[in-house]
Amino acid sequence: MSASRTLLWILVLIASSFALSALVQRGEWDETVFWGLRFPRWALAASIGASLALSGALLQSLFGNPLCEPYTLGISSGAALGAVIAGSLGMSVGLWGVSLPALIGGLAFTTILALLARREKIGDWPLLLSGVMLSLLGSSLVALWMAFMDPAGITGALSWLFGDLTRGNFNSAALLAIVVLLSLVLLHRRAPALDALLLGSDDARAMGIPIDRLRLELIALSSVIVSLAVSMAGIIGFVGVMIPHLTRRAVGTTHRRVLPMSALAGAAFLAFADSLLVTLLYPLEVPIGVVTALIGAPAFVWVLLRDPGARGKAL
Amino acid sequence: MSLGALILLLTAGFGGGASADEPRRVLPLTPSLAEMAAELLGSDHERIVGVTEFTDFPEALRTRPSVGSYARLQIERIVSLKPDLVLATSDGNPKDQVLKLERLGLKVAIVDVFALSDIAKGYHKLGELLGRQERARTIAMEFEQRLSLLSASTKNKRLFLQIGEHPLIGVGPDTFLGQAVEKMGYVNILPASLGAYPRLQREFVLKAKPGAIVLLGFGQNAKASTLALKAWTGLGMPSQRLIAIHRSELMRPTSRFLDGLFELQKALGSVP
Repeated sequence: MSASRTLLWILVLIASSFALSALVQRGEWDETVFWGLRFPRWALAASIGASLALSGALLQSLFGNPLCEPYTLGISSGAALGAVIAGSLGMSVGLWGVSLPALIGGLAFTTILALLARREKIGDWPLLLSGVMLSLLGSSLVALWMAFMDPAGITGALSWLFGDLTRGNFNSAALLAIVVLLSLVLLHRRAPALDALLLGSDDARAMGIPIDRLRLELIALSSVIVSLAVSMAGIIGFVGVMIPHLTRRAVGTTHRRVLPMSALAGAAFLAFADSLLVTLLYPLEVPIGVVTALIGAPAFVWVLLRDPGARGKAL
Repeated sequence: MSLGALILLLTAGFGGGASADEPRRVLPLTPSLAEMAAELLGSDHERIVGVTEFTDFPEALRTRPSVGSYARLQIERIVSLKPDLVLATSDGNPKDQVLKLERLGLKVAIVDVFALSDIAKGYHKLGELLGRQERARTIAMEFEQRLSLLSASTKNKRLFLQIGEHPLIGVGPDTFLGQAVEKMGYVNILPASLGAYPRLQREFVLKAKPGAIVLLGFGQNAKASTLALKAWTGLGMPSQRLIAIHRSELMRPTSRFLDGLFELQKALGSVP
């Protein structure tokens, strides 16, 4: 599929999700429902989707593995742990509330991963598995903390572990969208270096690219984006693995295309999935992460089966 | 053996006047069952050898050994307490864990208190199990009498009962609390088909246009409740229609439930 056709499809999906969110209401159309609930939620879903897909695409390029994403690498779990601890101590959702501890949690887990990645003998797969273990460790610590600290216990933990778009508001969505846009501007200049990285670390180094600094910068950027997203909506898995993979298949591997297109496609996917969920399951609420996992888990296996090597060169 | 010693042995065996088959080591697996059992046992409440988390009434039970949350029981701890009667519910305690207790040879009695009418029945059943039938009759009768004093203080005012701050969980009409507020003349905005305590989309509540929203806050601080109510005022709900009430007995189907209910009725009386 050509890039312009892909873009058209993404825009159609974004427009459909907005139309679904704006127009389809049970009973009489209510302005307060749209402006007070549906629109902020739609905007949050879109910006969360964009941030997860963008950081997924970035991490896949950095680690040279199409199965890497904030969720599988444990960054989301670290951020959720920070957010949950802050939340149970009475801090509210927002930049100066749970976002900062989420960032600390996300960066702490990323640091462990980055330290592992520096070890020369560790390959892609052990690194990915270490990330999966970190993810499980973070999720278990979240559940443990919630069970001891919060009378609502598991109910509260579940809303962090399976994503929850009802916590945030329009300000959260706008903040995240600005962060994603600024990141894309920054990444536009780094795109050629990322393209070179796909040839392998040695080749990229030979081309004069400061690999280690680049990796450090981009892992930190990715952690910031993911931690912010997690602090606003909990863990929403698989968007970061599915969307960049599909985007690459559609537009190729050039990062000047892959990164913005992944962000747009992530926004379209999550906004559409959530609008559909809200409409179909009305009046019940189901965590969005459950749906992304339902779609994402088979997609993850599909990526594995399609490309058993699933290594850097396969990107 | 002297006659005196024989009499002493016999009375000791019967627990100082209690009948032989009365349980001596009772383990209730929910806070409300613990509360009911303590009420029935009166001064013999020491027989309650353990409780689940959040059991806070009567005060004396707070220091009993905990066997975990009612939803996640610590089986080993339960067995180690050697209860001769375990009190469980079919809707609150995990079924597999209750079955496991039975398989381990413990005597488990299921006492379900779900609807308003189940409360008095629950006391009768517990009275039989604990050998306190007379006391159960008295408590159940007093409860029914007090309940009959609960009259409709309003007509057809639409009401939404919210449990805690986040996520948004409502109280359905087929629960003891749901039935009690209907008796007070309120109409629950939730249909029974959504279940007892459904997790809801906020827009459903907004569109149902409730005359009042009651936030039942348990264990949370006032700041959290204020924030939860602010979420409604931000959507155009007049603040005088919002009430936050921190009375745990409103979620406990015991005789104390009515204390909380009368308090709720009083608070709702101030809603225009």
